[in-house]
Amino acid sequence: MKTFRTQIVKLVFLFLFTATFQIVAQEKEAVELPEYSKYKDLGTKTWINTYGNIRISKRLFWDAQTHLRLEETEATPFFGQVAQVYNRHAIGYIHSKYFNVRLGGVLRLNFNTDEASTDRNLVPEWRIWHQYQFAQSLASMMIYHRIRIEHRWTQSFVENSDYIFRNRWRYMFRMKIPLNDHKLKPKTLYVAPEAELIMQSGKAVVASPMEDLRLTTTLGYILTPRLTVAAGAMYSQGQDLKNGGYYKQSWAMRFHVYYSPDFRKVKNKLPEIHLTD
Amino acid sequence: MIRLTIKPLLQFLVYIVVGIYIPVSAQETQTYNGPLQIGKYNGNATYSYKLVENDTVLDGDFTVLRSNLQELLEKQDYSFQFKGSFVDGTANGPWKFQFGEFNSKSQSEVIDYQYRVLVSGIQKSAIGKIKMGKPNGKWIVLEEEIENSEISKTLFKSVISFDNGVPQQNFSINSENYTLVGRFLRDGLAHDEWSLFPSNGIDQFESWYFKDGLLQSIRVDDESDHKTIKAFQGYNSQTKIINLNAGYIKALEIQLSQVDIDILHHNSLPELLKQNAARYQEVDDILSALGKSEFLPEFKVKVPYYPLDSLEVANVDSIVSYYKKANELSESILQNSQLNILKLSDSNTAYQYNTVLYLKEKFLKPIEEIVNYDSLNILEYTSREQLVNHVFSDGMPESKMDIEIQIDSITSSKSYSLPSSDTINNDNSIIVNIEAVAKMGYDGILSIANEVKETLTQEKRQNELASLEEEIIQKNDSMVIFIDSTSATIPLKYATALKQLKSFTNNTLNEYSKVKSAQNRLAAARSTVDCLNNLNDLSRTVSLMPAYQTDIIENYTDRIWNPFMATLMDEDIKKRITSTYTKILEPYFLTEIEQQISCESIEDLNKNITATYKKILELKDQNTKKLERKLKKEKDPVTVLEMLNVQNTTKQ
Repeated sequence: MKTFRTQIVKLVFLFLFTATFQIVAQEKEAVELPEYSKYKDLGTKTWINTYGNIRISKRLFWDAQTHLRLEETEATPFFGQVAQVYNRHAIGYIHSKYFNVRLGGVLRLNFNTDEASTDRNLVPEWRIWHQYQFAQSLASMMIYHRIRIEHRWTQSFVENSDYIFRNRWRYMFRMKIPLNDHKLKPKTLYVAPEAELIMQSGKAVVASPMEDLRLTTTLGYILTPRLTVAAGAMYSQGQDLKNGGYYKQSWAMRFHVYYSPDFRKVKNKLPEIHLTD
Repeated sequence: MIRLTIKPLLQFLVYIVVGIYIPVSAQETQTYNGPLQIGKYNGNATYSYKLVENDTVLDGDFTVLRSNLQELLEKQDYSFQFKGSFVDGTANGPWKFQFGEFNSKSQSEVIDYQYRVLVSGIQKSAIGKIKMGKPNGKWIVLEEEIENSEISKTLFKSVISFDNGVPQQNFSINSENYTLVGRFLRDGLAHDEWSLFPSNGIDQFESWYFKDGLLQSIRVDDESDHKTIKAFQGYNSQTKIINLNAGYIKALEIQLSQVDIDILHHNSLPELLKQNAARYQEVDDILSALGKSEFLPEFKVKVPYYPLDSLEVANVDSIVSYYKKANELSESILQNSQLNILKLSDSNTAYQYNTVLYLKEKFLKPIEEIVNYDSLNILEYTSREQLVNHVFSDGMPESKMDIEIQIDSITSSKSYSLPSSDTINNDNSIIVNIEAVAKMGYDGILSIANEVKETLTQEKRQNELASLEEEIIQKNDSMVIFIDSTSATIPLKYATALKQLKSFTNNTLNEYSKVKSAQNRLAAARSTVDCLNNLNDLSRTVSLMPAYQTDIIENYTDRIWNPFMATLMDEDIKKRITSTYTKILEPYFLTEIEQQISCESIEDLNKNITATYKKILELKDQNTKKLERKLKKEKDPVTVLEMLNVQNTTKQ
């Protein structure tokens, strides 16, 4: 009997021990999926983007993008305050009129928009990215498929926090439909609906693979073959990294300037500029 | 001691012998067997030769021949065979020359196990001996017609004996129509009776009697009658030995009356000799091509000789020169188409024309004969009296003459006096008088040529004016049609310029019609035609200006790649340059046309428009940064044209 009791005690101890550990572990993760998916309150953002596409040779170009992203806070409704400053660069290769690739890096500066936070105000985020874009013409419009893959290293605003590594898998479908002309050419107003799905993976991604789904419509105007401006609205939603049951959602106003200068000498531009057409 | 001296002596001898042997061996005759071209003859040759100072010198037997059965059967073949021998490059020994042109009707027969192809054609041959390049002994020259490999007719045959190139004894020459038989003295001079028979036996028979080469008389026999024509019989003064050729016959004819000349066969005797000479010439050509040769037979005769002294030679020279000048002038007048037309209506022209005809007949024609004799070198073989009697059979021409004119079937007559100071004077020598006739004829024709020139210039001026005016009308019409048809299809600003050009043309024509004086009118007509030509050109250029404009804009549009749209887009490049053309230069040109135009400026303006267009196109591929900066500040079209290096002369 003694043996039986001893056994029981041992068993109880073991149970308690494991249960305690389990409780400790649960406290660290602090994740509990809600019964139903929960959408957070809509936030608003303002994105101001410039896209430079600078020809450096017959087939190579330098992709230089700078984005300024603002995010609403309690103190700064609607337009918001600076949330991120992007510096996205790449060297691109024009394979043909309908296919190009590019490879480069991103330095994103993330500003802490949480007014209550006492953590760091600014942390860097590093990315390596590559992109494959297919274009095709359909009647008077153009259709684009963009696959962009990013390898990103992020850290939180918490002091001395470690970098976490994630991969992002992005696919975007976009159309550009000329409104006042039969094709996209200077002095043309166009509308560009687009949808982009951003998936992510990595150790830190447990139950939130869908980082973002962006639905945008832009109205653009081609000023010259080398300069285009556009503005639009975007609705986006995506799973919260910490808890896949929670969905962030926001509306953003987007403003774009596209420019493509060519500083090469005239004799180098001709006739290669025409590519293979 | 003796041995010592013999050894170098022997060596010396060996050197001498070897030294002699080498040049001797170089002279050794060699044989050649292969193709050979002699003039037009190309055949297979076998001959011996030696080398003398690197020259091939024929020496020994020689054969060259050609025949081609394939060609014979297909069409026609020429064959030849020359066979003989040479000594030191000169023909020597028996020779045979054979030429044939045959065709075959593909008829053949088999005889003695051999196929024989029957040929038809002509075979020529010459057989005889040659002594150091000259015919020697009997030579037979033949031309035969061959039909089916048999001689059907002898076309020509001459048999002449030579002694070292000089014809000897009897000879005979037969042609299809005549046979000539005669005799030579040992020195080759014609002697005794030379008979010319007709082959048909019906025509007259001629006997030429020579005595020591000098022709005495010719006896002409026909069926019913005979006549003896006296030649140089009884002449016993200075003579000269010449060849019996056409020149000799001419010299003979000067002696004879026209009646006698008509009786004789027309040159048949020299014609036969000429045919004979041609055949000897063929042989001589072949022999000359191979080495040295003097194969031509010379039939010698004697003629009376009246040498010309140096003064007379000078007279003859000036006769020839007067004749040539006068003949040229008279031909230019008589052949002038305008004069030929004018003479039908204008009595003065008819008078001038007929005078030239008359002078030609009476003065130039006899002189022409003398010039011919001179060119044959036979003037010295006739006495001056005989010459004058023969040439001027109606007597020497007068310096005054009556010229008949016929206009509209009415014949009238007008006298003409030669303007020449030269006259015929019986105290002067005959040659001097002949020269005077030549000079008179020349002077007369020259003075008429000068008168006619005046008539012609006036006529020419009239004609030119008429044709210029016709051209003016035609240019104006074409311009009006062009402008009317083009104006509707081009933008208004160009059409307005064209209309301005049209009204300017109208004014130009009005200006021209106001010119009254005949002299000024011709000059005015010429410049009006030029002006109209330029106006035509300019209106064509204006009609092209819309195309120039589109052309420039198209050229200055570049297809560039828009990476964001992934499309190619048109980009206007170098806008400064295109706008300079469209906003400054083109309006300037059009304004110039509408406001500043003059006959003098049209051509330059036209050139400027075209040159500007071309220049603008050229600039596209050039580095124009500096130019574009300058153009930005400049608005004056004239300065802009200077900047573009388009020569702007309109304002100057």
